[in-house]
Amino acid sequence: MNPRRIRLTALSRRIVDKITQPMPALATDTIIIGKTDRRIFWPIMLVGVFLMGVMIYSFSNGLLVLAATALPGDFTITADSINATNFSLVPGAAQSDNKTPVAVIKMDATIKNQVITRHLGPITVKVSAGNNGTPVTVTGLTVDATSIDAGNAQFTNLVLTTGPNGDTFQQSANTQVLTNATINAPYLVANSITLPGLSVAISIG
Amino acid sequence: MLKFRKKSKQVQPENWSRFRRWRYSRPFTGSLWLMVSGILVLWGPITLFRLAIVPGSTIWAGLLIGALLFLMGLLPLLVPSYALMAGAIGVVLSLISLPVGGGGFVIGMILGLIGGALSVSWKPTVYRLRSDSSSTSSSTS
Repeated sequence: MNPRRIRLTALSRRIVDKITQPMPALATDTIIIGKTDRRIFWPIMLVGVFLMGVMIYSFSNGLLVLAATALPGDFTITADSINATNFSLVPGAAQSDNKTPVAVIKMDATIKNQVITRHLGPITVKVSAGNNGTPVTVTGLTVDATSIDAGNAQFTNLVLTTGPNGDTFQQSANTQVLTNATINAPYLVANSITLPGLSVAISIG
Repeated sequence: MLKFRKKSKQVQPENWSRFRRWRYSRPFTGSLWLMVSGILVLWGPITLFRLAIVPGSTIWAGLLIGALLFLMGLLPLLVPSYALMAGAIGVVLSLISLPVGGGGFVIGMILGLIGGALSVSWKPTVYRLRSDSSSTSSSTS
């Protein structure tokens, strides 16, 4: 065979190899060994941990509120008074597990001296707000309540309706005032909520 | 002590098993941590999956961030050349996961950070196998 031709094919093959296989390690006699470059790893970790610390520090209150209300499980809301408008109460199943029978309460409310208590294993998270003059205002509040206790309840335009078989039941009112209220709820969601004078306390036991 | 560490760093891939060679040719540890963190971030939102479309809830964002974190772990396992990109995105995603998904109980966030940083700082080098030992290893395998 013509030696010149062999050299040409070898060259073209090398070019084709270079285009189609940018990783030389795809050749049979080489492999890629990757290693962690500590000069890159530690600066990234440093910056990341710093940002994480800043975020945890600045979000800590919000995160605890989230932990107290958004995670599945029971928590207790106590309040000196709940002034609710557009109140409706429908029995249903809890949204957190779809089994526990609860009363689904929907309302817009102003709440005085609201305290949310949540037991997360051995840790107790206590979120209190609205205790220095300005009450908590909530719109579009939905609570799955397992029990409601109130020292005094006042309703205006209260309507109680039952279903055709009498097995369903709905209570609605234009305004409703609950004083010294205690609500046990596994789930709470609100469209908007302002928490003036928010304070979060964690205790063990 | 220093000498010992340097000695232990000497690689002899001729004697490695096939899995070990595969593992070293991609950011394996970083990808693994990123995937674990993705699962941890997804855990919380998935238990509340039915409420994902309730207005005002941010559960869908947690699902998105968790799924993306998992993907960013999976990607450099399949295509090692994406390690830098996927790792950098993974670091940012794991930081974002704190406000939207509770950070995967914070553990997921820390794991994602470590995994992303490992993935970014992964540096491939081409190692030429010595022909004599490579022939012996190929004959055994």
